[in-house]
Amino acid sequence: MENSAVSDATLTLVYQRLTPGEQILWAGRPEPIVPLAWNSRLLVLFVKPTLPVFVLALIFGLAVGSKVLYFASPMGMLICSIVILGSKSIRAMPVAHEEYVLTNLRAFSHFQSNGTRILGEMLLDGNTLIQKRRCGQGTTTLVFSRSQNATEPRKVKGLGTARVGFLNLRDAESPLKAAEWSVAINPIFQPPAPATITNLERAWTRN
Amino acid sequence: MDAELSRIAADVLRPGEQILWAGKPVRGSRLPLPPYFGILVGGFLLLPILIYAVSSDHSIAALVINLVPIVFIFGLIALVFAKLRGKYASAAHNTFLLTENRAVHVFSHAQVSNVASVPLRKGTSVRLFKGRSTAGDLLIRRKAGRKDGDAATSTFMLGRSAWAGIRFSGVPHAEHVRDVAERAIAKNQQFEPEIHENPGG
Repeated sequence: MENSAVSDATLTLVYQRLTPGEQILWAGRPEPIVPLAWNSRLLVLFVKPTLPVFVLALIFGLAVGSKVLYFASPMGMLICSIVILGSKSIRAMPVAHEEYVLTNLRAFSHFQSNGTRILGEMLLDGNTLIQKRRCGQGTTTLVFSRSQNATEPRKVKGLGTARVGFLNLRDAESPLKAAEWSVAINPIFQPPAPATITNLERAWTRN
Repeated sequence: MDAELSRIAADVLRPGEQILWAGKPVRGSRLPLPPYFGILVGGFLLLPILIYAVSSDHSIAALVINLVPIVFIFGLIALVFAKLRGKYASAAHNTFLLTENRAVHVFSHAQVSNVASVPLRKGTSVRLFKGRSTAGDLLIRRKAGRKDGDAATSTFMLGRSAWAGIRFSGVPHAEHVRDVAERAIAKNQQFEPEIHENPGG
């Protein structure tokens, strides 16, 4: 357990939410800067010098009146800009202000910076999917999401998955093992059944 | 106050914290796109149009061929954004709260809960993006503080943290809600409170 790795604010917040019998298994912080994977770095390395080429091609195309050059250049510039800005936005993710706590029942993520706070919380049971993703430079991201079945649809009406992520961890083995153990031992959550409508209530509704 | 709101309020509010407004997203508001997306699209569309205007060869077909892929790529990006952010615009899973001290967004679905809060104090701005009806989006965010250097790793050199605020998508009567938030900020500004990173939701 690496409780000292997280701030008192996060620990207090988690302790306030602990249910009877729930215990902290692991707590930790991510690596402060998200590295780009090797293939993304290679792509950015290739794209950066290509952008000025497209600008020059545009100027040259305009000067000599080449349709191919001056109509293809804006598209090339657009694609290069998306790649460069996309990689910048990944590196700008302020993960340095995130902290993660894993209990035998739930996974918590806590972001706190300049007054803004985001607390993510997810149940770890037999319906929890654990995904392990390599980020680059030896860091790993763990993503917890819900598995697909009739009672607990994974997707929010086709609009994206509800999930909690432990981003950019240097040592992901300890939290991974703890999460896998929690998922294995916790019974699948059963949502409470909707209240049954009695005949009297039905008659009342009709009236 | 219905049962769901009572449960959420009991879970996220601090002792003694008063709710000023609470609500859920409504349908028919604007597409959940990032701010300035329209300006960016316009900029990229303007470039080939300018080139067309200054070039000696005025071929409409060439202009259309050049514009279509740009519209297609930005349309695809808009679709991805709408898909990713759409879950935060659904009434079934999202609740927005304004208290005297904080703006709180609660997302809850399938045993996943996400509670984001921003203090309504000095340094917080509330921006309204109006939809067609009275609904709209509110972007409530903090300016990066001096001590906040590493959190404010600039996104596109705008000098602000990627997660320095929260978004209320599809807020009913958005202008009224913005006024409520601004009044709370103005009221709290009079006391010039310091931000303490105390736990409690």
